[in-house]
Amino acid sequence: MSHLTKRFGAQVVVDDISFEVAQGETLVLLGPSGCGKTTLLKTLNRLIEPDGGTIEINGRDVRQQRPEELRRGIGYVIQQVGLLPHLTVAQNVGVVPGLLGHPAAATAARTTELLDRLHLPAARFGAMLPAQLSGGQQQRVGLARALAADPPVILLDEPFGALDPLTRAAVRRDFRELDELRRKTIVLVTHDVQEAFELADRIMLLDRGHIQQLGPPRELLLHPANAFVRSFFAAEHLALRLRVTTLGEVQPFWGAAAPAAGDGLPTLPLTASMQQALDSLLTPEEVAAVAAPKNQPLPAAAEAPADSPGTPAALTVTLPDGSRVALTLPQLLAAFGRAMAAE
Amino acid sequence: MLPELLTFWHDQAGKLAHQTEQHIGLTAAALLLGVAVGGPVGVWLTRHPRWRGVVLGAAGVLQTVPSIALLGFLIPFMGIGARPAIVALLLYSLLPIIRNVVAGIEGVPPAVVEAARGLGFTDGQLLRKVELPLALPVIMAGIRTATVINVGVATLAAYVAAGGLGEFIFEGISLNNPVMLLAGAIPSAGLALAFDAGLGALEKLSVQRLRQVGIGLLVALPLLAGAYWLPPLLARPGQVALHAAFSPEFIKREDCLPGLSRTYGLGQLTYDMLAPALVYEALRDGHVEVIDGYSTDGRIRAYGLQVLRDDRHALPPYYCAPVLRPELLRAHPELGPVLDQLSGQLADSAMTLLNYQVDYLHRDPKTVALAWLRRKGLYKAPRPLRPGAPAVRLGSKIFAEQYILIEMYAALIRGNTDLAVETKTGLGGTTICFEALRGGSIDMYPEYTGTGLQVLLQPSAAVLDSLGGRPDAVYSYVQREFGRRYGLAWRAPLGFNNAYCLLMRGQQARELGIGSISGLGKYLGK
Repeated sequence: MSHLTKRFGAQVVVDDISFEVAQGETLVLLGPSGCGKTTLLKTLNRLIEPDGGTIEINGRDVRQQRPEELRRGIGYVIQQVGLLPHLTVAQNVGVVPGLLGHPAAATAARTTELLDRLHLPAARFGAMLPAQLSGGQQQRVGLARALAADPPVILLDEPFGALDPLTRAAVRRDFRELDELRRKTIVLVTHDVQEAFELADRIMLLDRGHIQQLGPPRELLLHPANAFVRSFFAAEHLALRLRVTTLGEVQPFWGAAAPAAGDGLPTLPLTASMQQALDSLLTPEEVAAVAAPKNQPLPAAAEAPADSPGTPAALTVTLPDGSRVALTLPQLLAAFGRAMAAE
Repeated sequence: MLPELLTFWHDQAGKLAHQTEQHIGLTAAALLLGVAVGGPVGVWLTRHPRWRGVVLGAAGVLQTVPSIALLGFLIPFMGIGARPAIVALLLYSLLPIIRNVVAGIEGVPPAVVEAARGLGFTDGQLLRKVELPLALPVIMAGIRTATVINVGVATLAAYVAAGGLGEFIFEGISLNNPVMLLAGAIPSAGLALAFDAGLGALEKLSVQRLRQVGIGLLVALPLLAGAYWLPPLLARPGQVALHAAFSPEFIKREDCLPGLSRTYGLGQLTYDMLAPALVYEALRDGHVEVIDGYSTDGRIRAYGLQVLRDDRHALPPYYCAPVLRPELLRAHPELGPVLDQLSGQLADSAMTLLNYQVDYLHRDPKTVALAWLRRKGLYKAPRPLRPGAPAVRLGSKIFAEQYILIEMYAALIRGNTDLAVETKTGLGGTTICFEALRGGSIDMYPEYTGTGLQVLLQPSAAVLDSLGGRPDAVYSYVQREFGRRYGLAWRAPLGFNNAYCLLMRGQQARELGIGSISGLGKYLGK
């Protein structure tokens, strides 16, 4: 989009913003309340019409199409989900294929596929009404609905904001692990910094209608463009460092590492982040299994760490030459600390 | 009361069925129109919220206007009959329908609307597939409310010649007959409940069944509404079809329509019930050809109407004469000749003209009375009064004719005697005047022989038959009985007869050669 401007009355909400999003990229719009990120998102599918500037998707000006046709080619997920209360789960998911005139059999198959993949078996949930589902389940249906017609672009406006932290993490993980999203261009709005760092290829940090910085998460954290950016990440700096620091960067500091014992431990490459390493040590499944609501199917059982309470947890790291070493948690954390100190 | 009610229904079963059919037709037609108009308006308002205050306010005003006033307002534009009735019902039902359409659609959660738009629904699809289905319970509640209101208001349709169950109700009111009243009111209430239950059942149907029922209704309702408009009797070639409108009291009183019908053979005359206040204008504007009216009403002259002569004296006479307390004449013997100056002086046409000047030209009754006295050479300037002179107290009922007569008497008394005059006008109705006279609060008021007979004396049917409606017989009887029973005296009649009469438009009466009620009967029999 170029020179996008949007005013509400006398207030300039989006001020002369220009940027590009590459195909298959996940761009996260991040910023404090009122910075214009939601407004910006909604100009992409013309729910809000800008006062100035142009938007092009695949080289085509969005204003050339009728809004309805444009939107049927863009997935849209909102915080309050907005499932149609009088339609079943399956009917909700099939809405856009229906609008596009897809054959019913194909739609049904696609619906089943998506629901199953989002851990809501269609056989059981397909005929239910939205009111019978929990918040997390509703948002999974919302995601399925946005993906049903296989749109190349997906817009999400604080999609996990209404969920409790545990559900949020679970749904977010399911979302991240959907294969087909890798080929899609995703623009996601959030004010949750952790979420932005977890999901984004690039982050666009906004404040009061202006772009403060646009770049990969690592760049915003380590090379902030201005004081605003620096202070925006200041509070969670350490947690974010864990996300952007790879095992490869920590490797020089972890000293002697024992060769990997067996296949029982979680295994990660050097490109994995510290956060991923920590996550695999104390897997979300274990956390979720404790707190899962009764009607949510349990995800596939994780590999249990091959240790008992009292002994330190460990993981296996695969080195470039193919060998594998085992690292304990204290080792890992100490290495990280030394790496930070050495900067 | 129950046995009488059941008997009445049994006897009038045919009429009851016809009226129920008309009532259903009116309500159904108004309901269809109400939804057809109110629905789109409501939807439009949700897209243009700035107009909400204006439109809902207007609909609210329409509903606060008393229904009968609304009907009366529509009649000059739409005539009488089903059309103004249905339009009035439509206007009445707009508020609940529009308001509930707006409330229902706005009650749809905004997140749902935003999600639907974001998914790519067009405005039309959004309305049809999301907003209306979700708003349906609230909208149906509005429709049900409107329907129940309409069934009730539709009882007024009888008053404007649109038929319906209100006919029994109005007849009951005018004749003070509670059985008749309930005979119309109970089926009306039952109909309201039936409609409400029916619509409630409709609400619960699944979407597929709804489509079938909807199509069925779309066919049935207009038929129901249309069955109401049965084609008028085909007139024979060269003959004008005569249709009448009569007031409730005239239809029901034995000595009015039933008696007239028997005496003159008027069975072929079709008629509707119509409010007394509306009959004259309905005749003038050509909606009907015959009405009932009062023979000295000023509108007869104003609208060029023709009184059909009651050549067989089937209608009771209502000759006007002063009724007074004999004590008055004993105390002031000079009064007698003074009062008699008016005897026989006022013919029907003269009184009608005076009524016309007051009711239609809006002149003051006193001015009109004095002008007439002067023309007749009866006027004398008031004599100077001694302080403490005794006063004659004259009473009158509340219509122009009475005010005019009182002013005449007052002027005559002031000009010809040394007595003062106190007028107590506007005594509401016959019974009040009569009781005032008997009790001594007034000394005299103008009464009508027929009223004295029917309302005050109320003799047996045998006596009424023996009098046979002859003016002099009735006068003698009334004079005698008033003296005997109440000690009150009647002076000689003034000359005019303000009775029920049949009226036609003057021009049409001449064209068809009808000058009397016999003539009417002959024309109908042809």
